[in-house]
Amino acid sequence: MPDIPPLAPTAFRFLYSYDGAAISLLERSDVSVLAPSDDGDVPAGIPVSGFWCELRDAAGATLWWQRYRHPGLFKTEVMLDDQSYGYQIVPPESATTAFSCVVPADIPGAESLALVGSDPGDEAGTPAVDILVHPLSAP
Amino acid sequence: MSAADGTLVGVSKIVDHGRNSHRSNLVFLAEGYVLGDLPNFIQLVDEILAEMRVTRPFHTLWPNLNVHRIEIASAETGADIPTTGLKVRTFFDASFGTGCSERQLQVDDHAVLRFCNTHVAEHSAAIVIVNSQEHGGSSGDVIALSAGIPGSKAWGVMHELGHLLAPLDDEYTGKTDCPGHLPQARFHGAEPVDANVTTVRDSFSLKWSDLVGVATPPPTLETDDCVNPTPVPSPFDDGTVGLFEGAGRFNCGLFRSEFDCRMRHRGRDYCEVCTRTLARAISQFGPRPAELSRNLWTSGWDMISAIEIDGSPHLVSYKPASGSISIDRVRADATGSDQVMGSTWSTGWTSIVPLQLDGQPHLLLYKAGSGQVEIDATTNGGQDVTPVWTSTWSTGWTPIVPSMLAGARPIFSYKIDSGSVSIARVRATGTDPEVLGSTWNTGWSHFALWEQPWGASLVSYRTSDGSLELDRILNGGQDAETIIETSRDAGATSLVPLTWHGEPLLVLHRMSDGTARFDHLHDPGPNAAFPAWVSTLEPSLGKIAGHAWSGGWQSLTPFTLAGDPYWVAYNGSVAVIDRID
Repeated sequence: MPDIPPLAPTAFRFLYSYDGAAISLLERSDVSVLAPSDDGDVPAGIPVSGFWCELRDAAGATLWWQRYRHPGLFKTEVMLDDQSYGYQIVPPESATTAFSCVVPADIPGAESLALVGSDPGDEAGTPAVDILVHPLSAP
Repeated sequence: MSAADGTLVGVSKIVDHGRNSHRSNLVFLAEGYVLGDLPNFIQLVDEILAEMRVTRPFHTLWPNLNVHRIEIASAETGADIPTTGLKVRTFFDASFGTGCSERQLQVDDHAVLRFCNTHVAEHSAAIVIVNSQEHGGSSGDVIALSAGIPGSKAWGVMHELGHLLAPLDDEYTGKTDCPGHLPQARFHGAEPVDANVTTVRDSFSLKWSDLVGVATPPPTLETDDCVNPTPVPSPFDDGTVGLFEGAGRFNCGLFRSEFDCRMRHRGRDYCEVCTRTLARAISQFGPRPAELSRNLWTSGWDMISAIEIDGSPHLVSYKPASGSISIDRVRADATGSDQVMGSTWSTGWTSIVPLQLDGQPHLLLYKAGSGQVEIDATTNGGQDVTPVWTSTWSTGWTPIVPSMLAGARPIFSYKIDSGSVSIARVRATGTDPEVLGSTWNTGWSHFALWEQPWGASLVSYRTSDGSLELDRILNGGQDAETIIETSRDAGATSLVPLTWHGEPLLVLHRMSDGTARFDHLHDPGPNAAFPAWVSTLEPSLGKIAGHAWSGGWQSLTPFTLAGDPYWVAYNGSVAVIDRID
């Protein structure tokens, strides 16, 4: 509409591996796509569990954040055979997986990406802490 | 994964709602299908999409999604089944688990994500369908699902999309039958960041407090035994929002918002909290007008419509006060428009309706004050406009909306003061007797009409109070039935019907503050066949995008250029051409 130029979205997609203990950055790719929108105010004041990606400036202030599903393979959900169409949780066969985060590439001042979350080895909902922080330009 | 284990057969965009960069992109990948079995994969994906397409909230949000299908022929059929010793060569190395995990069907997530990065770089969710009649699945950042899971395959996909697109937490509890493995009894952790589960026990500081009724007690339903909870039916009506204990795979200490939800049982609908969370996440991928050109126009062009002449969009602009008329051809690059005809007509025309009659562009002109009506043929590329029929109707018909019904070209007319409604077929030689004459409520200010396979969908809007109705126009215009009665913000000044990548969209715009809301109309029709596993086909009119522009844009006139949707916006001095990306 008036006032809004054509959008040429730019984003980074970061691909990570998780082996049950540690998360490692594998690669970064540039992609022309809308990154998920910012999730609003970062949780503050009370401990929060879960998992999210943050873009931070040089001073560590959060410029953008987005909730993601926790990559930790605490349990695996299996669809039940019965007519309840419910789920069952079972121990994972393998704790190795890969996941990706898509973040906007055009946020002024963004210098680092932080994966923030509960302890990947514990589903008890520990307060989220920095799991991995790396430069936005990496690798 | 290796080249010896399979080959890429094809990548297809099977649901195309425009640029991948602006949409949420779902990618279905075949795993364990040999070349001859790929038609089964294609059919299964079609079945999943047919069900998603009519399931809340995806039926509303459908225009915000693109769907891609990647056909990969594996060297062998199925997946590894370690418990039987079966080992097969497949592209993504699908394998079932063992012991308690024998239903866990895993693929090489890393390989899947890299493959998607290469072939659909904009992917939002990767869904791998494994060609096995064994029941299994798993999900992390990649959804893996066997073709053999019981019930609807779409149910499992939609549950997992709740995790990936929103993201939503599970709402089921800690049931486990694994020897030596304790159920998840009580959650003692920190408040989850996810929108659909909480540790909060009062309805005031709750994430979904706005949805909790004053008569609903917090907590609404508590678990009686955290280790071996007794299954109980819901003592509350379906849809009651409150605090129901048991969520996030824990029996106690975590609460969900409703008794049941697709994030708890895959055969259920999403609860209201999950629905709105999904809608919020996906609505950012909705239509997005983008300004391509801006040109100065003189003031007073209070009536602008668009008509296709010789395969190109043209704007028909009229100044009711002076009678100035202009027909302008929109440039192929949308940088503006060039006049092909300029003249001065009599003043006072209140409707100029573009119509294609006998394959030729025509204009129907009407003066609400006098009832004068005429049909003009436009020829010579729009340079010549010649009356071919004149008559006098009763006064007061405004607005007049063109339509297509059963291959004919009727017009829908309404009198705002009396509520009179008329549908009559238009020919180059005049109008036939009306096929529908009726009296509706008074005061409807705006109408939009889309042709449907079974007739037409008509949306009526009343700017004074925001009332909005959806009617089906059936039997060639002889019958009308109201399907939806709802409301939007009052005061909208434009109601723009768009056919956007095949989807009927409705734009309500208010010029005073520049706010605009895009709604998607999903109307399956009166005799639509139910896909398997779907019990009802619910018509819906739901928001898929919202924008705020500068104020003062008095008209938005849609047209199609090279297959893409556009409109021209006019504010009394400037005309802007937008492409609706």
